[in-house]
Amino acid sequence: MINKSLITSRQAFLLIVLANISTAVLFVPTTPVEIVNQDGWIPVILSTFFAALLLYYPLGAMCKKYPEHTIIQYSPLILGRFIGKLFAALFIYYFFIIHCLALREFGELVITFMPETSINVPIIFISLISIYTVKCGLEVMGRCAEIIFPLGFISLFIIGLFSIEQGDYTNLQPFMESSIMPLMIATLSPLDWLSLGLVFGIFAPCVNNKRSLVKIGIYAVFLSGAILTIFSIINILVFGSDLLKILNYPLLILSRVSKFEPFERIEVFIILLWVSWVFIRVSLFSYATVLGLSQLFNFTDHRFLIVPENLLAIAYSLFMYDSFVEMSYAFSISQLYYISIPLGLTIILWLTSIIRSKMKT
Amino acid sequence: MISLVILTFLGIIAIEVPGLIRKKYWKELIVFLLLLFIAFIASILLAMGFEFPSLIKGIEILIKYILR
Repeated sequence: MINKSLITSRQAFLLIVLANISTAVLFVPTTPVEIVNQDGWIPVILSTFFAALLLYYPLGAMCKKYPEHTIIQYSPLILGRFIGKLFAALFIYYFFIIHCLALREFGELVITFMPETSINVPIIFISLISIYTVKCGLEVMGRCAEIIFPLGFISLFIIGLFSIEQGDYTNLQPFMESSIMPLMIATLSPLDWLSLGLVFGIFAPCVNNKRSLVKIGIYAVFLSGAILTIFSIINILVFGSDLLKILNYPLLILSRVSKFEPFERIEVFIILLWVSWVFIRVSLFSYATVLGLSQLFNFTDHRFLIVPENLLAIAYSLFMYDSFVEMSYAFSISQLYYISIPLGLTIILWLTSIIRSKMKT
Repeated sequence: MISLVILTFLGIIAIEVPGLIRKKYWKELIVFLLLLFIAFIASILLAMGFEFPSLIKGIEILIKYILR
């Protein structure tokens, strides 16, 4: 299949950052704090380095080696037809699951603001927008990311700036209380968020500057990691680890408590950030699933699959969990399950490609 | 509710399928109808208030088995 659309390296960079942090920034750092208390920001830094080393460097290297192919197309080239197709199917399954999760998280946040509304309504409406965007193609998504990312970034900056004076520095003490093993277990949850950039493997052939592919991934994960780390530290400073364990949406509560005369009640920024960023994530993962499916079966076009895929995602996102409580419980136990596809399979793919190229020479 | 779901799916078929038939994309048509059929079954079950067994139980057992 010929990809005619081209995006610049800055757009690709922003798409990876948005895929990584668009929902994570609202939940950070509840799961690490449950395990290592006030050291909850250290796992976020560790996971940034792990993600750069274990996912983004191998992915960038492989994308550079096969500049005209997506990850769905070069995994059969590396691993042979049968196992390669199996890996590709697992990658597509992962993209689909993330698409459903993004829809569900969006719906859950909207119904905290509008408790009388059924959760189906926000999910169906964002799916309609996402269907339209995916039909328009990757270029439109890239340009949307260029407009939307600064909006959300300014909102985050304002929330962080206004709330920092309410922080209490004794909340971070005692520093490095926990030992190395709990820290490593706590690293799994931020690693789960930061490994969503696997979607880079889908749109890497569309980046116009092929030489910068490795750099794009590494820079993107470091920016995402930096934003997540800063907000983990701010959350721990303001709330303290005991309160943070029981909060559903720390950033939402942070925006409620932060004030800077004469500005107060700046939750509207959260809505701006959340709706715009999740819109990009939903359309990006919908695009990845659809394009991946069409490349797995060698179709010439991918657009006819967009509507059925979105309908399936709506249905599955509603079936997935009964309530928000069940969803957050599932997030706190299932990191290993969600990490194993992007990290494990990518590493296997990369090592095999290195061994094969060594054996040829 | 169920009639609304059926109407939506009929509308989608009416919009998408003629284009696929005109271009003679038979393989694509089969995959399209298959995906749409799964989505249709899921939506009908959802509209009827049916509950699927949750995936989390399986993941929970798996994770606890691995971590021990």
